[in-house]
Amino acid sequence: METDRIIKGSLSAVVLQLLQLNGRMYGYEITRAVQDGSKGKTRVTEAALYPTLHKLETAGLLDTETEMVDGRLRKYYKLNRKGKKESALQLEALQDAISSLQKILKYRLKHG
Amino acid sequence: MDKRILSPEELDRLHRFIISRSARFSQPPLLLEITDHFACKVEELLQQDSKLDLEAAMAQAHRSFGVKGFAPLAEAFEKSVYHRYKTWYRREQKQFLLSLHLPGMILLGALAGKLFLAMAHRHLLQNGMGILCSAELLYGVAILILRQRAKTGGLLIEKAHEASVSTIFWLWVGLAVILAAGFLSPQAQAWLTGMITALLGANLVLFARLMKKAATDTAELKQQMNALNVTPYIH
Repeated sequence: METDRIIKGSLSAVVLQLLQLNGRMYGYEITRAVQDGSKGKTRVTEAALYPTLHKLETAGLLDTETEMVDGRLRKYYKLNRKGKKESALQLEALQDAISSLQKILKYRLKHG
Repeated sequence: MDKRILSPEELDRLHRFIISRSARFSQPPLLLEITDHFACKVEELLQQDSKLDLEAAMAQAHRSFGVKGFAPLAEAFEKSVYHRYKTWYRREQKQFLLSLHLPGMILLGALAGKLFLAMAHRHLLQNGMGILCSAELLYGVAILILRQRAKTGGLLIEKAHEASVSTIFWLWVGLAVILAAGFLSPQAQAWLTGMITALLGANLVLFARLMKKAATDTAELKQQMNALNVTPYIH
């Protein structure tokens, strides 16, 4: 549950990176990728995912394609050029944050 | 094991289930937005447990969306449509300034100003103010007709209509000028009449274009819905 909350804070970076690695993906596929990628430890809810996808789309980072699959319309999301740049930036920021966090968690006061 | 895929009859029941949660979800764009994700979830549950029937799978899948059900999805979608039209409208405004419409609107404004001075000189049409009153009336009626049509046009037109709220703002500015006319010199009144008339004309063109775009998007969506045989639910 706590992990879910931490991941939710970085959901934009996670979505961008997943799209960077997998090309185009649809909503349900992204939720599965987060769940499977974390070996079932993390789950992203639809209530968190879709606002993030729409926010990224509105920011002009994602393009969408709609296709008929299994008798219904499926919307695929993919990174555009601006999104690819943003994905690299957000991944770097995320890695910096993780490294800083690791340092903070190991820090002891010298005269504590 | 083969992947479990919902049959057209099962998809039909799935649509009915979604719409039963809120009449708002019968709006084509919302129904399309929710259907695939929900169907994927239901298919997965049916695949995992072959004894599970469709009704139970739908109820279980719906519970997994959380207490608010499909509402957050719908809300996020509506917000994104609103922003999409707002962005489009702003881009059109910028393009308008670079297009041949601009000299036309300046000409219209100059003509209105000139006409104002001629009427004011002859003490006609309430010393010229009748020109702005007529422009306001024409603009107001046109906006009212377009907005009335928007009320029954569906979700996309409704959002486009929300994204262009500035059209009403210029109507109020015009009314303020009419009310303040007594405190202004005839030259200032002529300038304002020209400016407001040009602005009303420009806004009317932009608003009509936005409504046309939203209507085209709605028609495309309806075509897609026809292909999916889900039109009977659409209000």
